[in-house]
Amino acid sequence: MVVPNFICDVYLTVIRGTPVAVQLFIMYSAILAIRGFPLELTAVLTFGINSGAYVAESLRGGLQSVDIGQTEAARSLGLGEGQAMLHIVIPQAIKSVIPAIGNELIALLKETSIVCMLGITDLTYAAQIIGAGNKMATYLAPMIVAALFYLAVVYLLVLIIRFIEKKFKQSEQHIDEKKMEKSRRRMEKRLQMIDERYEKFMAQKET
Amino acid sequence: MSEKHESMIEVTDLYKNFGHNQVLRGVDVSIHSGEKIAVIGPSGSGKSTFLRCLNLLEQPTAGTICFEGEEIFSVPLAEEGAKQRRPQPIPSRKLNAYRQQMGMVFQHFNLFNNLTVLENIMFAPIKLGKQAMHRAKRRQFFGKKGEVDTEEIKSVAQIEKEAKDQALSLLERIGLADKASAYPSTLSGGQRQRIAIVRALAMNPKVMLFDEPTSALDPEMVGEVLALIKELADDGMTMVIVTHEMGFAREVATRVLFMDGGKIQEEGPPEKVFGAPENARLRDFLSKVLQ
Ligand SMILES: Nc1ncnc2c1ncn2[C@@H]1O[C@H](COP(=O)(O)OP(=O)(O)OP(=O)(O)O)[C@@H](O)[C@H]1O
Ligand SMILES: [Mg+2]
Repeated sequence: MVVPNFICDVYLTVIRGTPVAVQLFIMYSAILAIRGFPLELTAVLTFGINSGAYVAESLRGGLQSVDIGQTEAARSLGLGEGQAMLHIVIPQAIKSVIPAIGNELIALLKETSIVCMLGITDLTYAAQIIGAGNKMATYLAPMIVAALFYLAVVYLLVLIIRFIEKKFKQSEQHIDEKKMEKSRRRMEKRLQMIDERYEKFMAQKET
Repeated sequence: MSEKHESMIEVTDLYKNFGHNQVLRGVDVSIHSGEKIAVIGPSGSGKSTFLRCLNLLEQPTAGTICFEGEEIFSVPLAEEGAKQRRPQPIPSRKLNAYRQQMGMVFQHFNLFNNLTVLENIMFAPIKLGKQAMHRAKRRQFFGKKGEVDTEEIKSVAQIEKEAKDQALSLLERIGLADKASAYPSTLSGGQRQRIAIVRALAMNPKVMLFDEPTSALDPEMVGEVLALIKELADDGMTMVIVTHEMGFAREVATRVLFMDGGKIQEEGPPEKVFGAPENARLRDFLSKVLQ
């Protein structure tokens, strides 16, 4: 585990310790300086690698925030390390990690505007081209339109993140009547399914 | 206790260090089937560590643990001055099989927060039942010719049905059937601990380990949890209970261990340990806890 740990440490330190604009430029001018390599792909890879480091850090925080007692209880029943992680720890960690990952997603979306460095025409760059003229004021209208576009997409993302957050909050402290009823119905359905499967199995066995 | 049965759990010369902190310094215990052992002692004496070493949630530094004659853990203690060898990790299959036979109840319940009460109880039996089924099938498939596999392989339908029936009857038994679909965060401490106990029981363990099961409870809830543990004891369950409830230890235990400084200082039937303690530290401890 020493070597993978070291690699991860280096990755997290380097990526989080340098500006994404610099990373983008290094990828473009050195690492992926291959003739004919699509610029868009360079951008996608750079932002992917960059964002990965931040998401990894949030995930680590989320996993560590789950009480060690949860894992111990699972292990004490004889469940394996992987089973405890997959079915007990991760579902609880996700809940606390969604807001951070949502923020990262939103930041990422806006950060992509720096791809104009490579000459890729994204929303910001397009607005810049449209507004180009000899007066600074001509930039205003296209930039406001671009801002509205960003705002619209970000707002949509916020709504989606909120929805997901709510989905995962079912085991929260205060559960109202409606949720309890829902949980009860879900359980009854599950139990009924178990019974039906069993009856089917017994019927099959007899024939 | 009939001596013709060898003991269920045999612990010899158990040591546990946390860094330079020697918490267990040579614990020897043999636990026989049907015994109810209460472990008492001052705070920090290593009671929890002992219990956690028993089911290997904590890996001992040295010592031997045998379960029903099978050696589960064995590492010799290093010579004075020599460096203690780091124990090999126990193969996970062996470890998990061992833990399935040992229920553990924690001070802070540790119910799975993301699962409902019923799911908490059914989860392990279903998961592990299916796992055992898949293994049996694989064995049957790859098994050598002529080697007849007589064990009947249960189907998923049977495993789930059995787990469900058992979970419901366990909930019925503790009077919490109406909470089956509730999440742990909506329950009282006493309810949570009783569910944690039946969750462990659902694996049909041969021995139950309790680590101060009532210490985190409000006083009015202690009774219901102790009553359930007593019921299990009366049913013949083998158990090891770390507790500060001296009255309970006296009433339920067949043997009391007094731990201090990482060693068992005195042991014996409750009448003797509480009535005629020999060890000076035990006398001191008892005079403090019994005011
Ligand atoms: N995971 C750990 N890492 C480091 N030290 C530990 C760890 N667990 C326990 N200890 C130390 O071991 C010693 C004994 O702890 P233990 O929990 O076994 O005592 P205890 O007898 O159960 O006490 P209490 O009655 O307070 O529960 C303490 O000094 C504690 O600091
Ligand atoms: Mg303790």
